[in-house]
Amino acid sequence: MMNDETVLSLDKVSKTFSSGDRSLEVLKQSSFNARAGESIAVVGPSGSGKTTLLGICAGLDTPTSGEIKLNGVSLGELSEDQRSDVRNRFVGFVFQNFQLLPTLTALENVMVPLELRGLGDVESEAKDLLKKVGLGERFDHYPVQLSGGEQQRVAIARAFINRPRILFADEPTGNLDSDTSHSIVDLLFELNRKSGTTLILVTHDRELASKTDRVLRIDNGSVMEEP
Amino acid sequence: MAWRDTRRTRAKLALFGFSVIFGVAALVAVNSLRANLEKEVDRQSRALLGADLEFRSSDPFDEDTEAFIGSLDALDEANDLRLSTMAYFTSSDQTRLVSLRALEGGFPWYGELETRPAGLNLDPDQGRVAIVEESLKIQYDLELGDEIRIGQSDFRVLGEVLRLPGESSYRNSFSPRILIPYAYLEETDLLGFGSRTTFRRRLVFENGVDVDLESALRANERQLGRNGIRYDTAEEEKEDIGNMLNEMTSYLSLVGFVALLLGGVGIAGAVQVYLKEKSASIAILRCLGCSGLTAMMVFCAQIVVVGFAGCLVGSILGVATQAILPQIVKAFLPFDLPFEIVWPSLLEAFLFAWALTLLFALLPLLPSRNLSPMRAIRSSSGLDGNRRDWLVWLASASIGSLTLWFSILQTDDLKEAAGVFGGILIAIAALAGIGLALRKSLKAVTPKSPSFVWKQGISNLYRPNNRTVSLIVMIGMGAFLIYTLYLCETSILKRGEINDQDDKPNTVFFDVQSDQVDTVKSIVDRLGVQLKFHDPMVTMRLTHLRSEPVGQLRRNRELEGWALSREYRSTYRSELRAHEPIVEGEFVSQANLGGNEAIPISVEERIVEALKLELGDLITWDVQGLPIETVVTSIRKVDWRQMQPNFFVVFPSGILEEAPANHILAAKAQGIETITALQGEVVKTFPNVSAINLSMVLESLREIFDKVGFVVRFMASFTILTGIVALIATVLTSRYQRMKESVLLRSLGANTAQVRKIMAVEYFLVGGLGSAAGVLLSLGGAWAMTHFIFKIELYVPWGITFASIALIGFLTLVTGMLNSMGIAKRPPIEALRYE
Repeated sequence: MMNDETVLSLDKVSKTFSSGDRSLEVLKQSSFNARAGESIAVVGPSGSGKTTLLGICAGLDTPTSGEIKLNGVSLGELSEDQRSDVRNRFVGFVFQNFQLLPTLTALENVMVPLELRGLGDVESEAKDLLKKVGLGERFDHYPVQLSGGEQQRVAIARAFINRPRILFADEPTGNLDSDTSHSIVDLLFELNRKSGTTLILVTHDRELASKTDRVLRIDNGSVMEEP
Repeated sequence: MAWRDTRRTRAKLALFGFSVIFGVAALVAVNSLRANLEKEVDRQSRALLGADLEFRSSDPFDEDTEAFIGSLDALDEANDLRLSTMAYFTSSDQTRLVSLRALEGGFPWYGELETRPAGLNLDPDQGRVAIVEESLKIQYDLELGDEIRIGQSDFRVLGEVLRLPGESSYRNSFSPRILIPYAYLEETDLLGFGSRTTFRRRLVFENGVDVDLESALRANERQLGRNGIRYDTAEEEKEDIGNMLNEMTSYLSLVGFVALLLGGVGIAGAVQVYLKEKSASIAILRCLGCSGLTAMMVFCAQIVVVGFAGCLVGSILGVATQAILPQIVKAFLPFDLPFEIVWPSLLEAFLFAWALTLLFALLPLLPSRNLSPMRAIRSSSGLDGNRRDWLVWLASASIGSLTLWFSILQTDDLKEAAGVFGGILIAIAALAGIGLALRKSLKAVTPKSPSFVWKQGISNLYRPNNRTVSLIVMIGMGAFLIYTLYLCETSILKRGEINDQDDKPNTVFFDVQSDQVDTVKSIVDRLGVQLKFHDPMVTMRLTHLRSEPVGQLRRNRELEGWALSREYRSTYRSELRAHEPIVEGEFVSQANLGGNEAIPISVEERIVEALKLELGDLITWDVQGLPIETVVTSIRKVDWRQMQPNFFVVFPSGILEEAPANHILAAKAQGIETITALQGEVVKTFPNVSAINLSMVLESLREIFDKVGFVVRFMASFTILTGIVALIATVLTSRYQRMKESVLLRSLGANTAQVRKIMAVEYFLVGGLGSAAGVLLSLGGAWAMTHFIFKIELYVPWGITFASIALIGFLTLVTGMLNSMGIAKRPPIEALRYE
């Protein structure tokens, strides 16, 4: 399902954190592109800036310098609320710690992105997605009533409900046992393939990284393509 | 360890302490005020009466009484005659109903007559002089030396009376005082038939009221009672005033106590949320080998210190409030109250509040000692087992006992204390119940697909660790206290509301003698004023009911005493009026005294209830010496709100025409100038006639309510403040969770406005539910007050009621939003960092 259309492009992106007189450059002049339907793994040691890169790519954070284009939109020119709108329309997220709203049921959690857009009658779509991730019997369960693996499945369903152009996953199996991890990874890649969504995932897991089309290694603030 | 653990949560902990500050402040303030008052009453016991002994009667003292008083061997004695009459203010050409006090002798022997300029007296050598109430001076723009006509005499204004021993100023709102020398009373010519007069004789003794004097009084008590004489000693006055003040401070103290209890509920909730956040630390401590009890003690030590600090700050605030309280309750005090810190009562209130705070905090704290160390490994692990924790039960029982003990201390009566205790429990339980029910019903009526903002805002009311119900109870209790009083006030004022329709009278003349009626009518005619009603009024007393003498009936507890012993002012007519429809029986318009049959009368519903009357019941009246037997043939419902002469008993024509009577004439005058002119001319022509201007009566009523209302609102504000602090504490303690949610929603594409709206919906609903619960309950409370105490119909201004609910909701919303500032703006990148 991969094609040549560029969904995400980073051009000489840097990020510096300042604390008092000291400053720390976490990303240095990093550039790369991601094409539609492509899957990319971002690997690197702890504290190397993986999560920072992911946040900047997704428009959750702004770079100190450089330009990011997401689905053709230059994020640097947008306000925070405009970036929220871009995220809502084109981006999906899967977090290491699931990040479900504890006050909502599984079904309601999945509906959130579309409801935020003001769309009604999204229940059947959310139910279909939950069925696809194997939670057809768990619509009305609250997050605390679900296992870790089940919570991550809900999070995946939520990530796909707005048919995102690009999906960011931050250590999606980091809090799961190996059996559950496998099924979650399979699910993620299957949905990625079927929907043609670009997948960018941050991981420590080399095995998982090897399943993606490309691997980007981040070291000392620089992003390099692994052969 | 306890101290080190507070490093990142000291501000949060300080907030727990704040939850009880206002409750402690209220309690300390009122307790100290009470102790202060008790001391002052003791100190001023003799000044409360101004004399050692006082006799009073509505008739001049008879020979027997004079002889008895003469035998008492007093050092000095003085007369005081009180009379309601009209005063004519020459300088402004206006008249007003006043309470005339004719004083003589050395009274007051204890305390002093406070005047402006200071040191005025009523020495008859000064001629016809008057010392007037401060309000009169302001209202009629009186200058020193101005003339006031009272009856047939003119008096020169000497100055203002500020305080008379034993009298508090609120009593004089309806009828302000004018003091004149007793020697010039006769010249006013007011001591005629129909005057409502109280005669007082005050005495002072060398040794006060000693044992001999007391036994002499007791020996003659019955005889004095038969002659209509009552007496008071300084000691009895002290007890009466002490009881009155005790009731007042008990009430204030209970309101403060409610604030403290709610603060306790607040602290329990806050500690619960705090401990949820600390559960990981507790689990880690347990993994490291710490016993459950020791781990709990770490946090217990924090709460003990925080509770102590909260109570300390509350006590300081309480002492400051105590300095203000005497100013607020000044109108109800018969003396000036100097500020004094009463350390034992301050300490008592402090210790009580601290103990209660700790007990409340123990409720969520105790279960934490059973927290599983597995929690450190798996966050879903909880408490060890589900066994009942007897220590939690013990803490709950201690809170109950402490509350009951406090109620007993306040009321000095086990039954009353149980009532108060039960009342508080019922109010809190009802509010919690209403809160839960409203919350549940809100969930049920929430449509399936409303905007996400509403859905999320509502579902936040069920958020784990939510404080919805406790906030509803706190906000509701404040709303309940304030709105109950407001409804009572409105209902009473509504009852006396001026009906400004054209046919309703607005000026009433009473004490008009039979030979003065025609002249008054001609004045009314000449001024173009419409006379609405003229009712003769004959005084009588009840002697037999259903053939049983009144003396025996007094022992019957089913009958209300006031209805047996009061002096009835009845009228006679051949027809009833539109505002007094018959509800049972038939009105007989004409009768005569000649036959042997009982005279048919019509009675009003209230008196039917008080005397348990039924149609056909026989009542014998003593009509100024003449016994008249009557039979109840009809029962009327009187609309007392109508400004018309209303009567408990109406006789038919042909019976009372020859009896000595007073007359009431009611007129409708257009505009205040005509009212003033009419009142002025009638009173100048017949100084014995009194006139009431209804708008002035209402004004006085409002004035009294304002004073009472302010005291209640002042105390209830402590409850409201507790609610606000609890709300702030809740918002701040759940700030972390809100932030987490906010950034997650932002990462999913929510904009700042949506996040803010979600919080706004939640706060508005909590405030709205709280005030709705409180206001709903206040409808019940006000109904009970108006029905059982004031015996009037409850009036509910629905528009204001709904507006109040919305207003409290709005205030909660503002408080919540102010304390949530910054949450909606948190960068969404944090979603990736939270664990």
